[in-house]
Amino acid sequence: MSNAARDRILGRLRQSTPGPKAPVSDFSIMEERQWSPEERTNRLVEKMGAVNTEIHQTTADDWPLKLAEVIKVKQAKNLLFAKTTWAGERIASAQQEFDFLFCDDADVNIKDLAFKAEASLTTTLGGVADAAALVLWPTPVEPRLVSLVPPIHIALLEEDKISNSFAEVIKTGDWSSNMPTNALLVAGPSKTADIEQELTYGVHGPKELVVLLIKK
Amino acid sequence: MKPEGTFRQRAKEALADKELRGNFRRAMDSLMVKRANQFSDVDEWTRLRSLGEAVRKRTLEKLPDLLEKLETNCKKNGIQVHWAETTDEANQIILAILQRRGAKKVVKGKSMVSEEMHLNAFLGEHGITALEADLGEYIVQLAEQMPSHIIMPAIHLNRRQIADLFKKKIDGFEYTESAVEMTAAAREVLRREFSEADAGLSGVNMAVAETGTIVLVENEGNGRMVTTVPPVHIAVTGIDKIVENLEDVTPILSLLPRSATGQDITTYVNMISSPRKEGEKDGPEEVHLVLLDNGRTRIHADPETRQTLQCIRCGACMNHCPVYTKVGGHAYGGVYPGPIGKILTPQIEGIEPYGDLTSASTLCNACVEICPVKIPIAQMLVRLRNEAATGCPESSVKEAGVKKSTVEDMVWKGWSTSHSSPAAYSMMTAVLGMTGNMMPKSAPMLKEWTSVRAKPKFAKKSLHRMVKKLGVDDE
Ligand code: SF4
Repeated sequence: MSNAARDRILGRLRQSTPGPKAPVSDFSIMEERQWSPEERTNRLVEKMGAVNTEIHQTTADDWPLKLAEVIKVKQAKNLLFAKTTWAGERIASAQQEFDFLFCDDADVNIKDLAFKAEASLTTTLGGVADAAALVLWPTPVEPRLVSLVPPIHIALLEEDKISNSFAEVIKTGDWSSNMPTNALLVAGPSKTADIEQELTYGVHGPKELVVLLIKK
Repeated sequence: MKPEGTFRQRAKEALADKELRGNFRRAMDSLMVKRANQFSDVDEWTRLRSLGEAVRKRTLEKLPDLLEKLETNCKKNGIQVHWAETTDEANQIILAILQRRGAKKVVKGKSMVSEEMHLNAFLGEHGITALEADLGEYIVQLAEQMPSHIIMPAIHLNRRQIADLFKKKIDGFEYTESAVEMTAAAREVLRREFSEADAGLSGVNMAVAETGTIVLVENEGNGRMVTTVPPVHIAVTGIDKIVENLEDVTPILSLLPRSATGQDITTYVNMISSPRKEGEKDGPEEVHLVLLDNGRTRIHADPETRQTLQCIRCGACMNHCPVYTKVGGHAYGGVYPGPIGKILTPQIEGIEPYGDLTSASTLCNACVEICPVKIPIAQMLVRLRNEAATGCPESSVKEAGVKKSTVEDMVWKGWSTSHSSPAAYSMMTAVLGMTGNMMPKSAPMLKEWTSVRAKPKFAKKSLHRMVKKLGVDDE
């Protein structure tokens, strides 16, 4: 069935009457807005904040302390994270007041773990300033469910990895010859306005998104 | 599928429903303001929109080649591609995948194409439960209704109606009209379903030919859940939702959420390029992409109707339509309501059941002004009205000519003759001046004309005559 269907669909499309030539795609507008590093940070902080993302500005030395503080305030009993990333190594080596759930243990059942976790921590590839979002590429070490299922997602964002736009990110990272299984832009915590347009956070994904912004 | 009754009947009922009208008015007003705030920079809007249009037009120009390229690249990535000419074929393909996996329960992200296929009912007949996970779709499914808006499916219901519904359908739900608590109740039910489902089904916002990537945009996270948690992910899309390159995604990612809900970007942009790879701990083992024609090749055949397929389903045309905002989505009787529905539904389903939608418009052009990919909706409505009434034999429009009326044809012929001969014209005006007012309101055609307008009154003497009598030369 399907191969015949394929050939007929493509055959019909090839018979279509040609129309006027499509206008030229002028992409200049997508990358026109260039900001200074400081402007990029401010824009991202302001816009992500406006959609309920909690952002803490911190430093490369202090972020583990900030993390512990956030978890304490939110009273999460455990944290799901990868112990083998640069970030994970820093937390796992110290005594903490919460339990560790490791998503990069060899024989881990990530689904069970993710549904059990009260909070999670992931690294990010960076951020984009124009639409204001984080860029995430889940990996075997930091699987997809880690940033999705636990009610609190804490993301580490290094300030010097904030680009102007998504268009810039895909170009400089040569995404088109290099797509991972799953790539994500995340702008805030999960939300809906399906009941009388009332904005409500935390439908299916994390109820809270916390960004630890690591300043240089 | 044939809708019940005519648009006119359904619209009349909707207009009399005060609650419904209130629900729509409130929602549409706020959406219009939010969109307008996004595009206050006219230069940016103009250029971005031209780019959006160019990207979509280029896709359609190269569509067969891009579909082949998409297939090749998806296969390379391990995504299985299926082709369906009809909704029936698409349903069968999905059923076969699910049966092979022994799947009994499917969780769904929002997909208008699956509505086109009536997939939930079809799977139900085969003992498979399909559960909608987008909150709006979930509400509409509980209410056993159709979505009334392509972006906000449950916009026709207010919080009291939803609370009543939850009370009836969700075990242990304590009656509350708080949106936060109702959302929490749905979250709890659906969390369980995500973790137990045998398969996830989603739509597609864009499929990228260059990389074999499925792009989904959403706010809730249900789309990420259905494409990540269950062991199988099936994505369904019309053959029109393709873009050539990854770069082409960028203007649409900007135009779509800003036009739809006035957001800079949706909470999530989810790009899927393969099933779970060796060493990865989650994600589906199988990813399938079902490409559905269902009349789209016919729409593509003609350069004018082809523009219908530029649509990125932002729903802005609905929010700005003076007809839609008053009658709501269900009055249109089909899957796609509002201006895009008026041009898309009759072309997919046929002029016979849905041709009357093309006259549910004043041609005010509000939709054309805000459409982010510049679809000339009003022009297309006129084309479809013509197709309905005349139906030239080579027309590519489904069931062109079915609304042809001999009486109407005769009247127009008479009009044309009388206006091309001075003698016939003067005779006609003289006769109408003497006898026109005696014509009963129930006379053929006059009846339809006067159903919403006052009956025209003919003057004894035509203006033409009076002016002539004053000595003005009419040559
Ligand atoms: S026709 Fe235009 S405005 Fe309407 S849904 Fe499609 S893209 Fe949006």
